[in-house]
Amino acid sequence: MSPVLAGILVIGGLIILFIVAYILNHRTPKPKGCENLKPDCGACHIENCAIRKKDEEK
Amino acid sequence: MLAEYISIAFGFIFISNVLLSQFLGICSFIGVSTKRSNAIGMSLSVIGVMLIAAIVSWVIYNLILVPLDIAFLYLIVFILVIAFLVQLLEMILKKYIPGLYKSLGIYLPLITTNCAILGVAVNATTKLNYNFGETVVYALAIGIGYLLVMVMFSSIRERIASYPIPKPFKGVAIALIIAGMMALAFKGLAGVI
Repeated sequence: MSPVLAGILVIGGLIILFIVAYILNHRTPKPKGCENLKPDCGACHIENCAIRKKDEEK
Repeated sequence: MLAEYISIAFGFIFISNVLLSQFLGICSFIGVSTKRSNAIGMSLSVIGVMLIAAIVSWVIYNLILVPLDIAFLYLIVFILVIAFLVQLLEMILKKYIPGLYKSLGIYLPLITTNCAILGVAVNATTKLNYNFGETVVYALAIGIGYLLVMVMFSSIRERIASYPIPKPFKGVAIALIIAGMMALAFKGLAGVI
């Protein structure tokens, strides 16, 4: 098998695995009492962090 | 062989500590160390993901990438493996161990972008060329070193929160000074092994 084809297959396979895991994870309901968990971001100064932005939007 | 494992474990827990010597995972080190309970939760999540990520990355690198002559793709592959593992772990915790999800779940997305996890996978496979057993010991040692420093650092930060520190040194400034002093203390152990 050529390295280019092998690379495409390996990367493609991993991307598909990630997408499937992401969708399944988001479809799995959160346990009771965990719906509004908040991270303690007070000391972290990374402004563009996705978790921080989501927390600020709420 | 046992002596080599002990040497790896001691070296990477104390001397070449992931946070104080290799400067990996500094974001979580500063960000999630204001409370000891949060630091322990984050560290336990990191140990779990780090161990699994190192094992899976080692297997993929040595059994797939090297034989197929595509080892140059290791970085993209390891990032995808870590992202996939974090999603999988979050899903398993949500479904089967809700108690653990309650205490660790919030830190799982942060782990995807934690460079310490990627650093362990890259170092074990491409830089240090460890065998499987050494990779497991290495990943565990790095995780335990992370836990040790996080617990110590968060305990100190909890205590100094009530001390009368001059305004310019409050918060992250004093935290970085403490981190520097801790790094010097850990460096003092160099030469023991």
